[in-house]
Amino acid sequence: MPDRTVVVADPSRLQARCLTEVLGRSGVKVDEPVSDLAGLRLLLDEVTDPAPLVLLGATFAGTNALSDLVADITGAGHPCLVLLAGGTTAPLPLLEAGALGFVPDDTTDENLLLEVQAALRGEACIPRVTLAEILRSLIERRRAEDAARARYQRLSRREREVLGLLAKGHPAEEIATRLVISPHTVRSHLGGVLNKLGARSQAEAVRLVHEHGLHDRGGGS
Amino acid sequence: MIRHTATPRRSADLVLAQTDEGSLLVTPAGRPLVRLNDPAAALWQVCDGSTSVDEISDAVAALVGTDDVVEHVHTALDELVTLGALEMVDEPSSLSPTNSTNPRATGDSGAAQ
Repeated sequence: MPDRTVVVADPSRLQARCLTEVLGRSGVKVDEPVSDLAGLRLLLDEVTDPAPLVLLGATFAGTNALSDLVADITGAGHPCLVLLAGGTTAPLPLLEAGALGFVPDDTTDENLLLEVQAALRGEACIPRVTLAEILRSLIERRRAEDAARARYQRLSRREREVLGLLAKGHPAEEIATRLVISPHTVRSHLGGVLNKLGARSQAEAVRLVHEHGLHDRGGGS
Repeated sequence: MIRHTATPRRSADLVLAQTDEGSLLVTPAGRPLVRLNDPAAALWQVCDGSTSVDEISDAVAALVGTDDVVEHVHTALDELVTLGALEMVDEPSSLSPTNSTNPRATGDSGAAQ
């Protein structure tokens, strides 16, 4: 394929074709549309220079897989504008994966063109509704972090040591050896940890540690 | 001067309408109150009466990657209060849990046109 053309990728062939035509009619250099994931990856692998823009339909995959796809695209140097289907995809993970911005998939042709042109200039485009959703997600995440930290503060020093070792992947027996306590005591501390963190399992407690960075400053374990 | 712990709340009877020229806050009588750019419109939308000025400012700072923006957030919220588009609730705990202006209770449909 010729380099330096916009790549349009959407699982709906019709949608991909329509988008390509809208952009092509307006003078945007655009490649043949892609409607399957393997084809998209192959196309991007073949490009010697990064594409000026990848316009990506958000219905390609679930949120996690889509974030990974966006990360792959942007990690390879292709700016990525995501076509969001109303309310079905959380925009924050995509933004954190490197998406340049978003366009609602029901936007007008004129607006689509304006957003694509802005993206080609390197300008982030986040629709107002999406921006509000992103801010709400950030607020909720911060609240969850603050709550997790507050719960972590309630752990005793020993419980934090046990949790820290658990989060590093050490089994209870090994934690007991390291801390020179009995496995029974370790299990007792773990019970306290789960109770105070409000976690239903050790796996959830470990996830909280990694997700919210729950560590003692200077606490060597 | 905005209190950091205050929780701004959208004026319940205003509607955010989307026009060709952008977002417009409209009164119940259909009169345009003020035109908002996208960031200001998004700010207005997250003002649900239970989120503090600090929380909103922190979220915007996290999004743009700098604390320099906090001052602008305060100014924008201040202006929206002056216009009557927002009201400041000083004590979050004073909010009634059954407050009908809570967007979680109303599905947020009022503000989002």
